[in-house]
Amino acid sequence: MNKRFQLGLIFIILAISILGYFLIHNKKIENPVVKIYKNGELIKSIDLSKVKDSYELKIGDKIHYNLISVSRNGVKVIDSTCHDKVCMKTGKIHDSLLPIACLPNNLLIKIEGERHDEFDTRTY
Amino acid sequence: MNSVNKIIRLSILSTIALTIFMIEIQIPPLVPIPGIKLGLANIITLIVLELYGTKEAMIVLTIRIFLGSMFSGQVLSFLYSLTGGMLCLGVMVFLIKILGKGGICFISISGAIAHNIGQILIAMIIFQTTSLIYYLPILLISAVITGTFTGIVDKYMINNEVLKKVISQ
Repeated sequence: MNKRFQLGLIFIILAISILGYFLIHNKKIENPVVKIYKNGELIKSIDLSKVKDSYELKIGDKIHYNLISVSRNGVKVIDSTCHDKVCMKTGKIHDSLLPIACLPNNLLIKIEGERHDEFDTRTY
Repeated sequence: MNSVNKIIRLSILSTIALTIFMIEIQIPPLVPIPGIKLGLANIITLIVLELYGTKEAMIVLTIRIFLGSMFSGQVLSFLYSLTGGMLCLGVMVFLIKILGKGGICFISISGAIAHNIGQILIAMIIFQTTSLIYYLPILLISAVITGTFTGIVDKYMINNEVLKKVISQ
């Protein structure tokens, strides 16, 4: 493997990653439903279109917790006891594929699209 | 080179790696994506791998990860670091056998990519979800950038006469 081949390989990986990044960023989820996972278990499922007033949710115990704000136009983490605060910096998510993850507190908030098209496929 | 000398040099390198690791944790994350960091401690792993060998690199890496997660008090980060670190070392050992010491930058980038893929895999297992795979593109981009930096620093450290006298066996 010579230098040119190595450089080419790196550039291919970079190009695919950048393409993938834009594809993921531009994809929007329809009928968004917020799913909150703690320690790998689904603990809460919120349909955003049914939320009227924004409210706050506290996930975790007294020492390690995340404070989540849920409103009609998105969900975000507003306070966390983790050390890096990545989950707070992710900001509000509404219809993106990228989840909010808090690795130290083992918390994951992701958006899933609820399917309503079951009857459309059943055409005889 | 007797074994006491080697042990002392390896423990000094482990200490340097641990110090870099601890300082790096204190740096606030630049991008709001979990798992992205500079990976500066990998410089030491790479140097030990080049100058000493696979076994020594494995020992230094394990000591650094074990003590590092103990000092930082993060139980979960131990799992992430260990999987990422071992996968990274495995890829680097494999590539250094094929390429020799020529393409250090390439080896370091491949190691960084393997590290991030390992971290995503273990996160997917812990969270029991596949949606974390969407982080992969941005983690790969960051791996290429940080891997290049690590490789360049490594090259300069090994080519430096004074430093080499201190760190090599």
